[in-house]
Amino acid sequence: MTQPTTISIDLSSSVPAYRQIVDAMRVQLVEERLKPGQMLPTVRRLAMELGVHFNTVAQAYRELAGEGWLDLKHGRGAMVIQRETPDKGNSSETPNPFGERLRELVAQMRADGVDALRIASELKSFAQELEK
Amino acid sequence: MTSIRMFVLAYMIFLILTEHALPYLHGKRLFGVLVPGQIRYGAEGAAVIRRYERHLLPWSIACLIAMIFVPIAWIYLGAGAAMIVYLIATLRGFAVANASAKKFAVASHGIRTANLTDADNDNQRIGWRFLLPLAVPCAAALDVYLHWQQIPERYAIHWAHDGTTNGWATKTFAGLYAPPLFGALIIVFLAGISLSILHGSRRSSPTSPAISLCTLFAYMVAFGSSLTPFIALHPPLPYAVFSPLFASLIVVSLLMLVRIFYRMFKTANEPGDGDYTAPEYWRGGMVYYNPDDPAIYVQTPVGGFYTLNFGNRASWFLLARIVLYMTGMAVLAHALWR
Repeated sequence: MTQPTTISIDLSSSVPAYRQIVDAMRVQLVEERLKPGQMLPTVRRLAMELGVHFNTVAQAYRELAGEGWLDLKHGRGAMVIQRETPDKGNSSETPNPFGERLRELVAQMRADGVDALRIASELKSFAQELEK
Repeated sequence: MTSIRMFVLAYMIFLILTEHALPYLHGKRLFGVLVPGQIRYGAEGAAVIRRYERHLLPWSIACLIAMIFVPIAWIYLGAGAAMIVYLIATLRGFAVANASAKKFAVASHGIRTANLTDADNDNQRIGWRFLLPLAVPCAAALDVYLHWQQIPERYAIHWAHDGTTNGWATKTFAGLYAPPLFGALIIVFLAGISLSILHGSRRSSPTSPAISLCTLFAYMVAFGSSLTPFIALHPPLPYAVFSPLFASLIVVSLLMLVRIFYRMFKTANEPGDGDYTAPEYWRGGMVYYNPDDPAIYVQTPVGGFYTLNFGNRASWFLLARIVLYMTGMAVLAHALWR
């Protein structure tokens, strides 16, 4: 029996709950733990489980649908769909806010009190995983 | 000692034992508050429990003495009053102990985890479980309607050990239709409660103990409410057949009840925080009030039951609907037996 995919959010974090939901779900989608055709919990059910307002989950679902990850079926919940990865290429001329976003993320983590060495260690292990 | 006094006394002893056992029901919580293990089983936890037991003990002794010496003519009134007083004393003791336990509460956290499966989306399909128990009293009422002429003006409803009849009832509209009617209404109520728990609570599933309890009660009500129409229309089974059959049904129901309560106890004590709710949202350790929580029901801090989130407007609407439904039943009962 496969383990159900789970997401966790921290309501005491300064990062908005909808942003945490989007980020956590995107990780699952990119890593293909959520596969095309899979149905997700309804907005009401996920909001209840996470203890957040329905609109928070609805906003997160809309954002992921906007990115092409989900198909929102009225009254029937959300379904993961096949998404074509946009080709950004490797050219340094292509505007890519990646580095800026990474810095923002690190700054956010440090603002939340996470130790700088721990962040560096996490980034190193993550980079090793990507290179495999 | 009369049998009624024995019964009342037994019930009072059961109530007293239950209330005294309350602090020991949950392995990780102290009067509803999640506390570190070394506090729960250490000197601090023992001191809080001792204070609660000391508060309760005089009330327990007073209520027991009252049940032994109250005149038999006042036994019902006395028993009712004693139970209400005892429950109020318990609630007060629990609230005081809860306030003491909050000093040792583990720091509240905002971590929430959810499964990304659609398994819960189909929860509302459990309604079919209540169709069979609902069909039983409906069939009993239809049986009465179709065979009304065949029902004697006076029919047997109770038999002695030797099989001789020692209880009779007269044929009346209310006497024959009210039991299946109210049985059906109670089953609809239980189905509604089950659906609302599934719809409005975290960590609920069709197999959760609370839903199983509602289902079992629905079957018990279906059986009990159809008994009168059945015995009015059909010749009674021989005592040698009926008695063990009836006893078996009671034993099976009790065993199922024990199993459900065991599961409730196990669910409340399973690893992890379960349905974590921060202690600051519990008033007196019993009333949950959190306007930011979309859940209508939350798990009670003691045991695996559910309670309403009084900070959610939907809970008040649900409570109003329950009160209206019960008022409707009372008005109907009054109209039928007037």
